[in-house]
Amino acid sequence: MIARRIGVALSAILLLLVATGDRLAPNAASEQFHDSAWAPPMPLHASGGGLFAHPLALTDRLSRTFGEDTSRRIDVDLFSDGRLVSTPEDASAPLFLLGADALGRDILARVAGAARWSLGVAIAGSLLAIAVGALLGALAAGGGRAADRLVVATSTGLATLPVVYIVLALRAAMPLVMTPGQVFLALVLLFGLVGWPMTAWGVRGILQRERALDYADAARAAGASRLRLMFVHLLPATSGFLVTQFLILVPGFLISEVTLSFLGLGFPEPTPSWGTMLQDASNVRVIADAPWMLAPAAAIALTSIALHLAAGARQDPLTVFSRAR
Amino acid sequence: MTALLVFRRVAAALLFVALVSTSALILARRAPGDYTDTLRAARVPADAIERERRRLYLDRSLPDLSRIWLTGLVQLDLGTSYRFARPVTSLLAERAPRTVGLVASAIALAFVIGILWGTWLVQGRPLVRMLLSGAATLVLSVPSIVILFALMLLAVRSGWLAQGAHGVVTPLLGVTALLLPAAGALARLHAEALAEAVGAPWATASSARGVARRVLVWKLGMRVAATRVTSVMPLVAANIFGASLLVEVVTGWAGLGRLMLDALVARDIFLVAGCTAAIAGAVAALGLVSDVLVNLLDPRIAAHEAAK
Repeated sequence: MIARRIGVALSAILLLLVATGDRLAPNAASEQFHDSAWAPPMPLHASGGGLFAHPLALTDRLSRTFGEDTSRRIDVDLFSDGRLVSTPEDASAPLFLLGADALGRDILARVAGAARWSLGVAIAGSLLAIAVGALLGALAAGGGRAADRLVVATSTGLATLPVVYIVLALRAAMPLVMTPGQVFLALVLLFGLVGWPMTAWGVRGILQRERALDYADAARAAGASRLRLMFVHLLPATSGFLVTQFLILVPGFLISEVTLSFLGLGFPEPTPSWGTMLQDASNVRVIADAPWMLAPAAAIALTSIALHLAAGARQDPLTVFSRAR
Repeated sequence: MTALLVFRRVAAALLFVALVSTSALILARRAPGDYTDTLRAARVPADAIERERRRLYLDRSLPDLSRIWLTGLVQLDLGTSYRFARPVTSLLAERAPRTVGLVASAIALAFVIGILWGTWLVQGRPLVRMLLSGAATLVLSVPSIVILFALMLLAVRSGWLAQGAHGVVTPLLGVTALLLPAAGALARLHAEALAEAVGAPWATASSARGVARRVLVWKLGMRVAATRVTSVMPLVAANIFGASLLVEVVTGWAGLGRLMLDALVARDIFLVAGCTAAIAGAVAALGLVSDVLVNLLDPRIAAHEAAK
């Protein structure tokens, strides 16, 4: 139970992150500071009730080693200037709490800004997949034998194929170069198209069980039409299941987005996304010299754990496999 | 499982492969742009491009193309890849075993580790059980790609990756990253099934007759619980297969994932269809194996299906 509460709290923080985007960080996600390429995270110091950091100066240009310049300091403000963390206008150097990438961009700003794209597309796609699944599940349960067989056969075929490959093939069938907005829309539609089978199965099962209960008979006796019975009386019984499904689908689609962006078929540069950021980190040299580049991996792990905890430890372990990876 | 049932399943699997691969072919052909676009960009004369299009079957209609593909599929002749200028079958013969090796070892290890983990989860002391359950929840919710990056960081820090051991260490990291989430999920699933089995009335009766706890758990309960784990095999396989795409690309493992990506981007339609057929075939074969295993483990299912 405690685990579940932690999960819900973490998920709420993540939603906030989607809402705030890079306003969490002192710099904009796309701003480049060329002197600070590959700068490591700056340690924060506290004195007299205020936080500050020392700017990092290049001590060796060749090996790109940085040292703290203790003669100067950057004051750090919280909750001002419309940002969670900010530095004064006249700060002598940019603040990098999570380090900088090859172009001198703030990793914290990019991880936070990417949440909006990566997590946003996963959330929107999951909502669509749940809606499609609920509709098709209801159709299978209440629409006669032929509809039932069709839905079950399609979902069985779809569920046994690796979702990432289907999404990859469908995405590659679109124009290879698209704007971030188009990519967002395309991915949401694709996720809705391939993510519904498990939801449809579950909804079908629940509806078939509920339909045999007394309250359904009562509604029928009171003259409820088949549609009304299905959508007004029976479908609410699936709400708990749908919430769990949603929480399980989001991390799955997050990985689909990460995979596509990593392979260059997702969000294009300079739009920050966890997938494109991981691509920058995917080489042994970078991992050895600049491990802070792995920050998006940590963000993905945290999101996934938070949502799984929120879905509850008592979830049917089978649903774990509906993750669309 | 009767011969008729097996035959029906095999036929359904073949139909599935044909259907999915043909859809992929049509999808790749319908995609904007085709392979000869590069020729046009290189200012090759129009009649030469036309000849090339005819040679590559790009002038055929979609039904025509599907017929060519399906007759080829029956004869195991999958056409020629434009991009690699080689028969698709020879490319698949080279790449598919690498992916199947990676994925199959991850699946097999995930089952072995998951079942042992789950059994220990049921058998252990309270503290051990809590730790094991927490660990299972943790690994099942962390995606393979994140585990892979964590392992790579660990390997780089400890120096395993430094001394030319790349060829051995990297695939090992890949398999580990692929199997861990599945093993965690299987551990939970198996623990639940096993706990249910050893808590059933027949188990209590066996205990009362003097059957040792060890026999009850490891032999009798295991057999009852095994159907649950075996029946999710196709889903586990689909998950590991999906995750293997990115793991292959990151670790530089030249398998089906990379090939499929290259084919898709190059609009290499027969190679796209070939890769899809290989993936769908592997998935369908695993589904078949799991069906047969479940039927062997639990004869009631076969009886039930025969009665239908």
